[in-house]
Amino acid sequence: MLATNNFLLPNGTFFAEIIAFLIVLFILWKWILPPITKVMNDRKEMIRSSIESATSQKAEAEAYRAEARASIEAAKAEARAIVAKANSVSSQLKEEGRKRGQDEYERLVALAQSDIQAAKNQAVEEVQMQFGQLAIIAAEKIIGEELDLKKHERIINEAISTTSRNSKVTE
Amino acid sequence: MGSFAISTINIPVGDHIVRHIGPLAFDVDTILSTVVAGVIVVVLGFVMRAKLTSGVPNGLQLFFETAVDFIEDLVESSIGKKTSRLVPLAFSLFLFILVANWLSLIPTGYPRSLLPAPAEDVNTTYALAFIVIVIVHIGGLRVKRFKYFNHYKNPLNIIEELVKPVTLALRLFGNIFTGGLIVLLIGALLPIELVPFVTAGWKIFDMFIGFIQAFIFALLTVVYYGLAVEESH
Repeated sequence: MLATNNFLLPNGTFFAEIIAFLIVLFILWKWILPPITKVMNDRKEMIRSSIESATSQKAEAEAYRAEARASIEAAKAEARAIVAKANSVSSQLKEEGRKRGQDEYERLVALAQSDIQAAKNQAVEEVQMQFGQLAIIAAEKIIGEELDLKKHERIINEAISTTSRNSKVTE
Repeated sequence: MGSFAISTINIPVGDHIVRHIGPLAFDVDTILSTVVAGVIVVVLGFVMRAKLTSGVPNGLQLFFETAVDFIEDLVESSIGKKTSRLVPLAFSLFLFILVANWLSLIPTGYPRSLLPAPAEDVNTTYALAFIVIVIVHIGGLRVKRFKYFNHYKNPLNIIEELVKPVTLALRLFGNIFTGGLIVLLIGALLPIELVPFVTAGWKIFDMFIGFIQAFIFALLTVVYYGLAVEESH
């Protein structure tokens, strides 16, 4: 017997307590702790992976946003280019129209001038012709004999050209 | 078995129901309490295990997880790694001592409880301290081999190593034993009408002491182990 008269000294209970605690220790060690630590690690892993996926999704969203921003910028630039091109085309068309109008105007003016010139020439020719006939009539009167138009064509023409030269000089 | 008289009643100190088997004496009440505490710990463990989930834990699982997490952190800060054989030991010590201490909350007779806290008996605390100190020295030997004995070239260290288990055991014993003794004193010294209220108040405080002592025991186990396996002194 170890001791029975001093409560600070152990007795056989000591061995019983050792056995009892070792049994508890064994059970907790073998069957209780492993599932707890497994579950705790699983949860940590789950949290870690969900944080990781959240981070990667955030990065992905950021990339998409940047892409969208780039697309918008590109579309804006394109729109600006289109507007600029439209402006230049319109001013070009305007210029072309103006030029065509001018050309048409000049053509019309030139046409009118040439018509006028032609009319004038014709009028002059008519006048000259009538003048020639008048001259023949007058000459007939003066000479008293009929002039043969065919016979005296050379003389008449000479007279006309002299007259027209004179008239051109006086113009 | 000492007992002394205060007022008109005898307060039994360190008095146990003893049975003799061969040459050995066994404190039956302590052993019964230990078995009850052990069964509670194990049953709680299996109940917790049955409802174990990696999702949202229930209260019991949360308690176990908190304790395991705490012990793991303690072990990690003491010996540098989280997964150690020390974790089950420290965890079991904490849980078992806690439940054992809180057993005394159940009123099971006066002046002699049917289920006294097992740590009110030095046998329990010596046993636990013995297991701890054996494991600590085995750990030191495993890690350092023969270098472990260099530590004992200084005789003061030998004394220290001998004192460690004794203080470890007697600290727990003293605190828990006193808790029981105060219940007896309250019953002996106060008017009978006040006894239930004061006792209830004291037991709430005793719960706190029981928790702290379980915690300290586990903590010191980890600390002693850490010192034993530490590379340099």
